Amino acid sequence: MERLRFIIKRFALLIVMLFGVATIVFVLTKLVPGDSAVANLSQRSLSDPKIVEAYKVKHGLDQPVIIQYFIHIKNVFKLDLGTSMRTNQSILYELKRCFPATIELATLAILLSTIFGIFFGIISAMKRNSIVDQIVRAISVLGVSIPSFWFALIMLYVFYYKLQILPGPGRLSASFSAPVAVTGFYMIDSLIEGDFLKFIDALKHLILPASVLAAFTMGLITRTTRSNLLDVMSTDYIRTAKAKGLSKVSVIVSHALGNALIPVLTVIGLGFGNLLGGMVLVETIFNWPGLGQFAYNSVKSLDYPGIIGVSLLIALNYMLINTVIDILYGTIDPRVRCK
Amino acid sequence: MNQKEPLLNIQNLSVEFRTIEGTVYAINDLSYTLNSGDILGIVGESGSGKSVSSLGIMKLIPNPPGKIVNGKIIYEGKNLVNISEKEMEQIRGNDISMIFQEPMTSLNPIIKCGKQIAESLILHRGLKKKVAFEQAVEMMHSVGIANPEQRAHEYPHQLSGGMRQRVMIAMALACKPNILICDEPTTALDVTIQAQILDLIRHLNKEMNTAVIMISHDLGVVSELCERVIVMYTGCIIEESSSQELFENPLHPYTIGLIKAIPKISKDREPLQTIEGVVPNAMEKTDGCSFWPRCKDVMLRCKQELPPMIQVKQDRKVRCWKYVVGNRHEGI
Repeated sequence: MERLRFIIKRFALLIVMLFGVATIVFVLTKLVPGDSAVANLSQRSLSDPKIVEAYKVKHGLDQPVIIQYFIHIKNVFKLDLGTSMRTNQSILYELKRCFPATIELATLAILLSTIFGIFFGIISAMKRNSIVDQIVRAISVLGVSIPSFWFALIMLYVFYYKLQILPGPGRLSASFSAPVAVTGFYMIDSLIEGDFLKFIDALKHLILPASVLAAFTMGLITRTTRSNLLDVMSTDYIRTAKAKGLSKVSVIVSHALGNALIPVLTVIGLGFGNLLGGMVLVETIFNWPGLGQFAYNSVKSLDYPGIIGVSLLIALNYMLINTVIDILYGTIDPRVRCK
Repeated sequence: MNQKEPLLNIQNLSVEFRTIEGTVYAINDLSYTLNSGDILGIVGESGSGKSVSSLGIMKLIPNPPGKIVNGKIIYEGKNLVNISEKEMEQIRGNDISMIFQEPMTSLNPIIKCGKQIAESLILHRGLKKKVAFEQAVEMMHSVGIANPEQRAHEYPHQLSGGMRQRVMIAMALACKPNILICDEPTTALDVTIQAQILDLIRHLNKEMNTAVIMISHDLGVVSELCERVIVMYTGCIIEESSSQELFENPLHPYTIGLIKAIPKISKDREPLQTIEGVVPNAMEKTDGCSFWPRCKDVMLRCKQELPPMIQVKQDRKVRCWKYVVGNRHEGI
């Protein structure tokens, strides 16, 4: 089937791209100035050349760079990302530990920004140049340009400290213990445990950081939806739809939206990829043990396997999301399907 | 409704576009009638207001900036200018349908052709999806699309220009409207396809007794298809006549120029006749006849006063001072 071949082709391309990314990440880590031994060993250990030597042997840093590269590529395809120099845990374990926290946050954030972004975009386009449009546009500009760390602090101040309607930093309140890790997503795991209160608590903890993260992407989605919808509304086929006697709402819903949302899909995809990469500032402020925090700590201590692991994961996210977006494009727009 | 009441009666219609640069007077004091089963041609250059006048009937003039500032459009005793958007939606696609110039862009690229036709049946006839789709296929068959069952499941980009225009026609005629407005339906098509589409429109006019308003800048198309023709210039009707008489004996200097400008295939090669000058800017309202700067027979009065519509004979009207008794300086 045409469709299946298209999908298989896209996934085959993924492997090639992964190879490229693995190479680039390796080269970059080697180009970063600094010595991992200096970053990870204590002052006393550093003064002993034997310990330094042992450290380098342990992490393969004594090998020529080209050998290191081949070992690295081989390991990547074996899904063996090595051991963290910082925590002594396997990178895979570390990623498995912190990535679900980020996915949980990013998913809620992208859902919020997609729903509100598209909704505001439609309202804004329908009421073009009205007060409503001006307000929506102002909000979306604000969302895009507001610094997230500042916004995060304001949100915490208002909703946690002043109004006290939402919990503060962390994934769960102190009164709850972390659910048994099945998926790593607290909301799912707490449901698996059958603890509904814990589920609600986990959800409440997600709202503030997710809203802060959603602001930026929502601004982008609103603006893209608005401008695309306006473009589509002035096309000939919309005039045809109106000439058929369709009401304004059905013209928008059944004729304009499908066409207008195709470019918005790309924005949503890129936004989701961006969020899945972990947002260091917001995760730090909300004490969220996600990918951003792990990445930050890895870079700080020049933990090469950690940096490589995070980079590969982020790249893989983008590639997967783009593949999904491509497939969705084909589903919505028949012209893409047959090229 | 008595028998003499026309199907569509447009009275003193004026449309303006208020833009930042100024007001464009697109339609000025337009009046004409259309009887059921008629084929009426509207000709004119680009910018003469022929498309705007038809969009006006459908109330599809983009507003803002466009606005009907004056006049009535009487259809079945209702003045379309005053009725609500909801009532207008009942009329669009049901009583009055429209085909547009660009078949390549006038169909929604992400919806199957059959579904696009079925949509108006679902909307106006209240049919179930499946029944509507079956009727759409039938409709596609009757407008001469081969393999309609298969075509109905295809997307517009899979069809040729002529096919798409047929789909447009099928869509417009699905609910058997009383009036079909064709806005340059053949301009974007090959000559052979053009002839087929015109034949189809004529055929459907006979068969369904649908009145047709055929808008075109192509005098050939109009002379072939229409019984009655209106010539428009800068938003005004300047001549109204039966098709045959218009071509045999045009009255208005502009019409004369237009007909002379049709290239002829003859043994002797002659330079092509043109009308000197350009269409005036529609933002400037002149006191006199808007054609006088280009007119060969211009008189002093033409520059000062807009000529009235003059009934020369029965079914023959012209807007020119030449034909007002006392101004006549040559016989008709």
